[in-house]
Amino acid sequence: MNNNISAAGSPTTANLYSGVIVALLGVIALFWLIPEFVTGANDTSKNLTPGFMPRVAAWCMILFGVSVALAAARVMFGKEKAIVEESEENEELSYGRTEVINTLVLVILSAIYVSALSYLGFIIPSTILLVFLIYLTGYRNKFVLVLVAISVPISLELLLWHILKVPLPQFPLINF
Amino acid sequence: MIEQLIEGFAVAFTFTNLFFIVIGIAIGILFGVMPGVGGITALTLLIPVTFYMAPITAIAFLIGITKGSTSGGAIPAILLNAPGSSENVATTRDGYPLAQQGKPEKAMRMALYSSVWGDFASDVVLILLAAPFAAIALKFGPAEITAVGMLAFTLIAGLSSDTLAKGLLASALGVFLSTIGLDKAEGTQRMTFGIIDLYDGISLNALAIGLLALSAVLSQLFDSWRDPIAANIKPKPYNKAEQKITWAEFKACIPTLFRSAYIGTFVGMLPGLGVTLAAFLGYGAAKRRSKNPEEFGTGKLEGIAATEAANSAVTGANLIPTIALGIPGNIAAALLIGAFLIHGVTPGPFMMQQHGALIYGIFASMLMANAVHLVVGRAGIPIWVLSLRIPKPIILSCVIVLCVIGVYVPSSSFFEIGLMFVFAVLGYFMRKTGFSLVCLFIGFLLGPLLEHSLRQTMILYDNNIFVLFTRPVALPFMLLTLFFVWRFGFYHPAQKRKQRALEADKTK
Repeated sequence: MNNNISAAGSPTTANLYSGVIVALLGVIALFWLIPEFVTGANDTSKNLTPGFMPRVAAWCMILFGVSVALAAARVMFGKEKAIVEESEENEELSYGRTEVINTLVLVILSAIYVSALSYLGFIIPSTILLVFLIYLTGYRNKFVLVLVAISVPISLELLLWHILKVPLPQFPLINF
Repeated sequence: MIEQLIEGFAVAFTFTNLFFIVIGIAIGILFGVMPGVGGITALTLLIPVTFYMAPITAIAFLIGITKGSTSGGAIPAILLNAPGSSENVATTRDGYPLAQQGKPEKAMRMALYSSVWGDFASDVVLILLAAPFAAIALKFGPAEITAVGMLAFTLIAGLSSDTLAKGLLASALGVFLSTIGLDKAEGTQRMTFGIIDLYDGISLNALAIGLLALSAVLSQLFDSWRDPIAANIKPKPYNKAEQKITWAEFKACIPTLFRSAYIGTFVGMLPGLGVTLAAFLGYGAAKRRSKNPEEFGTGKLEGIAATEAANSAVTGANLIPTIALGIPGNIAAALLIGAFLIHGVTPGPFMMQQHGALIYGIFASMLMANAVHLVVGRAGIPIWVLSLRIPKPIILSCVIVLCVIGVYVPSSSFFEIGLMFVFAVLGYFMRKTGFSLVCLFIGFLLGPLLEHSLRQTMILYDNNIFVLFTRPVALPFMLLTLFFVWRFGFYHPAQKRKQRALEADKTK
């Protein structure tokens, strides 16, 4: 647990930023997303337009976002004691440099993987992903690593096709 | 009720149903055994598989997973001192010392028996209470349902998060996300941006798998990446002798089993309290009532019995608010609501009326699942132990591929796979910053119900929202909501307790 409650990456700092971000999202939703992208949201002839519930939710996001950010700011300025937060998921609460790098890695890898799925089908990107992840997380038995990485996607594809009759994305060249 | 239950058995006692209960329990235990993977991951991953099953088989299969994962989580807690999930943390206190004394299988057997007992006791309470609760809930109008919904949000937010505002913030975000898609009342588009995949709203599958399963697995993978040695701890071999539980030992645990089952059932009936709390309350109560409390933590069977009976008793009781009101007690119940919706059954007070045969069939399946759990769990102990030898990086990496399939199979959409990764990123952020995933997910799931009832209330009572305080049945729920807002928002017991603990630490 991150004991320095106002240090970068501590839950307090994360609360401040996430409170502000969600409140801003609420403002954007209220003044741009809902009027522009909810059909009939601005219909003044009706009491309850389709924009009613999104607006209620957006106001709640602003209200609670500001509350969370203000509470975090009060802790950071020493006006209030911090609550030592605990994770309901049994995780260490911290969003510092390491977690930001992890998030970036995740965003980049998932973007590459999803694009590769549509161009190369299911088996090739999944095999590469498995090799990459298993190796990166410290497993070094090359035989098992390659066996798992190849057999899992192929057996899943065969299983889904033969039992559920659901085709997974195919390598386009197969159709030639 | 007995007649309906017998009819339920007639519907549920089929080969297919039994087969999927066995498979569900085995999968639940296997996923529960793997630390960091857990039953929720199994549930989210396998809901799409149930698209191809009859509703009763689908729900029985998913309930089997839930039951199996609770006892499965105790196995790594006992063998590795690494609980499968937070609900098994208290099991390590006596389970691991007992394993160190050369009796791991004894500890695992006790955990299994207690788990099955806790499950059975809460299933009985569910069967007895679901129908009367639903009958009361049938008298509720839109104003009352809105008031109950608001109370549920406040309770879940207050109890799942360390600060009420964080829980409510996550819930509000969940409700906002639930409004994307076609408006059900008018059929107009809401924030779909012309994307056809969004016309039906954000996919429950993509959100659940990304937020709950994939983010958990990724978080574990990142931990293994930073600390590869910790990911490769394996159980020690043990002597098969001296693993039996004697009648005297079991008899000594009986009062604890009853007490913990009662505690777990009570906790399960209230939305948001959670399985982990039940486990710790059960353990604490057993220790307080024991003649030898100093023996707890040294490998006492009662400690294992107390924890496992209490955490398993939550499972059945959690379905009481789910079936009676359509409000899930925890994330597993929320996922089951998703499964019910997929199979065309809307959880809530009308469920008993419209799908009585199905509900009693499910109740019968739950009772059958307890017997199957005992047999499969007991016979499979060597296999569960063996599965702990599979390296964690291999399991976690394979689960990622399963997540992709879980989203792609029902939708055949790359957009939904992308959406799943977006929710995985959000889930990872929330996990690391203490925002409640339960609140967001339940907000997303209950958003449409709340919107429907709120809109009906506004139309029926000329936009007078204060009707929530004037209707006699809605008023107590609103007063309770205000009480819990004060309690969790301004007089937070956890906050006070933690501050006292912090101050005590500083003065040492």
